[in-house]
Amino acid sequence: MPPDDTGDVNQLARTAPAGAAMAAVTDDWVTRAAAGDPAAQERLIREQWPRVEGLLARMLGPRADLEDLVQTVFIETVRALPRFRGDSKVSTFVGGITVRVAMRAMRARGRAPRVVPLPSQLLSSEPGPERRAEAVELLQRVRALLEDLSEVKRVAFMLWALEGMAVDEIATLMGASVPATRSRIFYAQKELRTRAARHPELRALIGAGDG
Amino acid sequence: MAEEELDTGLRERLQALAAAEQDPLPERARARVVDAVRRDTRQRRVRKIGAGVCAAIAAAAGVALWLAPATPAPDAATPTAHAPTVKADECALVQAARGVRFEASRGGGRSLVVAGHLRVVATSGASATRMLVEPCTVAIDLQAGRVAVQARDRKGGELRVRTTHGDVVVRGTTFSVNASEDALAVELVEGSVQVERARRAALTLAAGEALVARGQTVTRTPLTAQARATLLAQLAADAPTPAASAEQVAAPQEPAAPEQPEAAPNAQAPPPAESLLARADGARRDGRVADARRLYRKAGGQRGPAAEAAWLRLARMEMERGRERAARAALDAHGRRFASGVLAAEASWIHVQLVQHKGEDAATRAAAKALIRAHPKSPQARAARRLLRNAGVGDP
Repeated sequence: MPPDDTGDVNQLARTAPAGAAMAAVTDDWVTRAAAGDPAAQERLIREQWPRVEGLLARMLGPRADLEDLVQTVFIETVRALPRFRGDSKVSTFVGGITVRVAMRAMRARGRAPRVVPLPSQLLSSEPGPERRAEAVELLQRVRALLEDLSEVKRVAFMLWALEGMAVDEIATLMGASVPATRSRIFYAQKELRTRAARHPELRALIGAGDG
Repeated sequence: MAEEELDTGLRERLQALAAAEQDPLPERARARVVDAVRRDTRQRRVRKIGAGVCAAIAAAAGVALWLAPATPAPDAATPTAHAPTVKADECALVQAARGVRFEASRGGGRSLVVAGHLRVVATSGASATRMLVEPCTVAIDLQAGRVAVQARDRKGGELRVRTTHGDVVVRGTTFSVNASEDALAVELVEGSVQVERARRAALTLAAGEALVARGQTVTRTPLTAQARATLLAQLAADAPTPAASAEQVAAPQEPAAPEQPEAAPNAQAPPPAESLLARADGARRDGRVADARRLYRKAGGQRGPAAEAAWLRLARMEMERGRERAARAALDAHGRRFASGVLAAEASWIHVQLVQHKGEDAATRAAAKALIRAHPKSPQARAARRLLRNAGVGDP
């Protein structure tokens, strides 16, 4: 789905001093992608695809419109590239945009009911689909418990807990300080434990009552 | 802060679960995204050029005003009025489709409704997503399974069903697309569609035609009454809820069912026949014959073309498994419930085949002649005539 707006996606880029944009870019292909070179844009998409797809999947869970969201991320990335100053990794730049697209999708979710595609292995006759189904079910319940939390807390927690990212990396992507990010994760974790205590099937997983 | 301890054990447990959660997007998704990014880049260039021309005209008009203030040109105050028109980003179809997603429908599948424009019903198990391709295309990306489509006023936009084997571009109307690992099947009830496959000439399908494209081979056949009824039933069964349907595309006319369904034993509505039929088909494909039988019978107990089709599919399944008596029982059930149903010709043809399987030549010929008399213009009558010709019997 093409982006609805680009209002805040360029926040990282805007932090660059005027005139410094692109000056520090050492990767020539990034410069060319910013200038609209199709081959360079394709390379950007190819290299960043797994990260963007993975981040969106972890933050949002299974969604039928995942491809739309990936597309939105790349369109917004290419639009923002001319203002990429080049003193951070491209992956960090793309990750920041991915986080913002995910948060927008979270906000929009109330307007559009989510369709959850079943992983294909659940429909196959391979061994283990029941276990996989259980895992998916458990994780969906965990996500449901976190739905009332603010988007920033949820995203910070999902990136830390599911994607396995370090707190400082999450802080960079979210444009927040490390202590604030750590605090968001902590409070999301605490809230999750409190809520899981009411669900016996989740207590062992979450460690409800431990803290 | 020491008290803000993060639980790494919890993190490890959740990460283990997350590994199972989502299938990766298919490889061709990347090509689509690359296309979309390129289109976006091109469109932004066009806008920039348009804006540049506007600015140039504005500047020129300003200079003209400065040079000749005593005789202002009528348009000088609105110089952009003569600027070249920059193509609008989106047409009405894409605007209407923005934000619309596939949603669970009462037929057991998922449906996507763009009010006043189109309705797409994906059967349960089908993997389909909606894509918007600016400036004016709504694409349904069908990875596997079947979608039924009813397109009305597309406001000049394009509707396209994309599959691995090719695209189906809508010129009408009411049709279905079925994508499997090795083939693309299209059934067209109304209007026309164009089937586009890589490195092959596009094919235009007319109303009442069906097409199966498998590798190099393309087979075009008349659409059977059963297939037509099933498609219409699918669209009807997955119609939106009455409260929401006022502005939405009207469901196609479902042929009248001649009989009432079996009285429901309780107040709770049973699953729609179309949903049961789809599940039964799935069970049959998976080799779960007992489940398929049960589901076909359950579907057959309801009303509408899907219920009627259920008995005939059960009969055909039993016939293919050599269970002639069971096949006949299913045919009899069909006859009792749908004495003048829309699939009567198909029922007669199954009867002919059953008799033929038993090796009763005279009875086979008699049954074929009866079919031709009762349904002379049906595709089944053509098959019956062929059978008679092969048996050395002329047209009755």
